[in-house]
Amino acid sequence: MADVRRVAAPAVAVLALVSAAITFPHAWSWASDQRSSFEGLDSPTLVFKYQQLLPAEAVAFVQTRLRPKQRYYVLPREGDFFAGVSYPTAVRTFARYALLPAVQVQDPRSADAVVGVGADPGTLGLAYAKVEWDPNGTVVVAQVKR
Amino acid sequence: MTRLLLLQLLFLALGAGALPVLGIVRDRAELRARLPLAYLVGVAVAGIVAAHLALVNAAVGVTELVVLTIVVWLVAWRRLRAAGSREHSPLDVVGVVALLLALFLLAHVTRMLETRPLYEWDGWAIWATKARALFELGGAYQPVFTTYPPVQHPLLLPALEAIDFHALGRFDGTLLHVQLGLLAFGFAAAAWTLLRERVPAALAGLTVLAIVSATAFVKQLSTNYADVPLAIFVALGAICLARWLAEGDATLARAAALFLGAATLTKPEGLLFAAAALAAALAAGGRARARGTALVALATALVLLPWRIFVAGHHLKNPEYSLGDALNPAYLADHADRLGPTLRSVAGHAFSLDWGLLLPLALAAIVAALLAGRTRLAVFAILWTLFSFLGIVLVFWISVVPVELTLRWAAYRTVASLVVGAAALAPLLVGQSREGGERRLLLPLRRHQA
Repeated sequence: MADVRRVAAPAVAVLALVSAAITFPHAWSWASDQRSSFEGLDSPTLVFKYQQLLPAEAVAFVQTRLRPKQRYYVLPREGDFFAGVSYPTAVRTFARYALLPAVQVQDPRSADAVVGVGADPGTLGLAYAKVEWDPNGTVVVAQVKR
Repeated sequence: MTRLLLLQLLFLALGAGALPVLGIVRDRAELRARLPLAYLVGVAVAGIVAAHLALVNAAVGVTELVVLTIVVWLVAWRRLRAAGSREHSPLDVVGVVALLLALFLLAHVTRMLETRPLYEWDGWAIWATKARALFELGGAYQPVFTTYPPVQHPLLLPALEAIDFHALGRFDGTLLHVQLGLLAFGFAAAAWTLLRERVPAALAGLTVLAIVSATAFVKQLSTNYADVPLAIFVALGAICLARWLAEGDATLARAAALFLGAATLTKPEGLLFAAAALAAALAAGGRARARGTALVALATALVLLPWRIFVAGHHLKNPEYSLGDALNPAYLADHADRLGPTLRSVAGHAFSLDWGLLLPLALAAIVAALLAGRTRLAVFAILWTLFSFLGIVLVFWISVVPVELTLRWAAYRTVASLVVGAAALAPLLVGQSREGGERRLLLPLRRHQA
């Protein structure tokens, strides 16, 4: 038993050293690659890759038309995004993040506004006080008439 | 960025004050010796307080944190005994070089994190959304926090990041990654301190280096997922609990309660890993440690309680699984086809070379501890590792998400706490206490003289 006690600590230390020798260079170069990939991007709200779901101009367009805590519903066009996630789910998920502090709801009947992304809010059958399309004609904010 | 770094000094000051208030140090000499624990203790305390206050829509910013720090220090000053000198454990070159290498790598990673935008799905869809909502809405505003999936994820990490945004004066999805890098610094310092009190510096330093240089650790740290922060709290809680079992030092039981409590508020799986640790400690510690371990369990539960009340009060359900199904043999039998792929995937990820040799290292240490007759620590490590592994498998088994999807999305990161926690215990299993005793390194010199 004394032998085990004497040998065990150095053996585990060597294993730890070998482990670090295997992973340290990968971890270092991965971090270097990431830095060179992202250096120069300077947008505190940017979401890399997924920003395409609602580009920065579209986010700005919608945000200027929604008040903090205003309840909105997102109506996206149909489609798939990636395995297990539909396009409407992806857009709604992204909008939840990007349009804060406005609050997304899951039922259009409890919304104060409808945000259409490649879809026309008119199809929901709600009455609107004001409907504004973005210059590209892909995003629309419709204020529900109360 | 400067404001964010100054905020970290505030976390450090809060933690330094919290160490005596929570009974993790008893006098000034012990405070000096355990000062590297202070940053992560401060982060845990601030995160727990902010997460709980968020439930009543009270935001924690810099002012609130300064007030909390002052109050904590007023109490700490009265509790800290002046006396006490401590035996300074010898440093060795290997240990110091290993620790410096670990910190050097983390500095390189944190410098990268300063430029990394939100990228991975859950990083923005769950964690950054919750952090931004806490910041912009001033708390757990119900229309958001009772409807935005996944509603069952607790709030420590987003609450911590919301404090960062208050310090910055704005939401910043890039700079929030710096907080994650600094958490890793805090982990390295805390793990080194807790291990070095008991084992040779070389063993402590090399283990810390092996953990933080694991490619999976670095990559997952960079994603704004909560899995590595959870692994950090779980691993520190496990180290403290193991040392409490081995040494009977109540200060470590208190530290275990803080870290395990923080773990339960970081992710739902935190409860799994904390419960596994506490069950393993009760089994391994025997009657001598039963009361203290039960108190740790009680304190951990009290930390989690406000969140559980919020979840129950708003009837929030986990859409992915129901724990009741884990106790339903018929349900488990009906879904038995999920078991094989789950076992293969979880074990495969745990032993992946992305984690280096961390799990083989932990298993080797367990075997060595058994052979060397360190039964109490070995039983604790075996049971914690086993319970944690089986718990992870069970969660994937009872999940309603198609097994290939849930394994692809989550298995690689759910093992983080298991791997990091098991590796962090390894030095304790094989390391010779420098005096060969159970609890000598932090005893005041005057007791030795007496």
